[in-house]
Amino acid sequence: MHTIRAAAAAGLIALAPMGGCAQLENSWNAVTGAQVTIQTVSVAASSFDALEATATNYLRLPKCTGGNGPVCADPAVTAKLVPAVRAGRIARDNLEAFFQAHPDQLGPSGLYDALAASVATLQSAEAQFNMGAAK
Amino acid sequence: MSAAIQALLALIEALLPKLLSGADSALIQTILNALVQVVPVIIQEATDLIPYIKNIIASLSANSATTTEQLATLQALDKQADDAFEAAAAAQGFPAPSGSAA
Repeated sequence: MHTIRAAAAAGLIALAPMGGCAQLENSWNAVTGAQVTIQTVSVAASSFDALEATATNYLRLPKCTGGNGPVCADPAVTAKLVPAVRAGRIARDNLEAFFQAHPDQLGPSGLYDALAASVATLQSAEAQFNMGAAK
Repeated sequence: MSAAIQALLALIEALLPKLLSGADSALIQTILNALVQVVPVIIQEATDLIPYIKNIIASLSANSATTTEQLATLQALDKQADDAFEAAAAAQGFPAPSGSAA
């Protein structure tokens, strides 16, 4: 499948001088299946915002030292949360910027996938470490 | 206090479609002034209410009566949740990478 897509993409690039950028963009999206609606992105962005808030609460707990009880922020968990939130934020911001610049178009699925991956990681951590209780 | 603020935010959120259907920038400014007051409290003490604030900010941002200046204020409010996370991450020994915009 990747080979077919790569060949199709190469063909599109070769055809680029014959059409406009918008046509190329649409063709690229058709080949890669890279299309998400603003509604889909809004749901993921809302989930991300809620999870970022939960993660913030967790990180405000005292760092676990081995002797300060169960209600603390485990450095191993923090090490997973921080990059997931940062990656998700970049994807969310880029998607929002895309839809502001292209209000009537479908968004790039690569960014959406990055945001969805961040949300999945954070949801998993929230469930595994009961982060919702951190307030 | 969190429950009281949540009730207030839910009320604003529910009323927004009606409020903004014939909105002028003065009404938006009134809502914005309330947000400016309440967001720092929420960021510090009730981060689980941030999604309510985000929804209100998104609705106001999408309204055509919102002025450029008001939009800038909304974006600054929106960024506070990201800043709060970065402050908490830095306190845990994970400072934001240099050059990060958050």
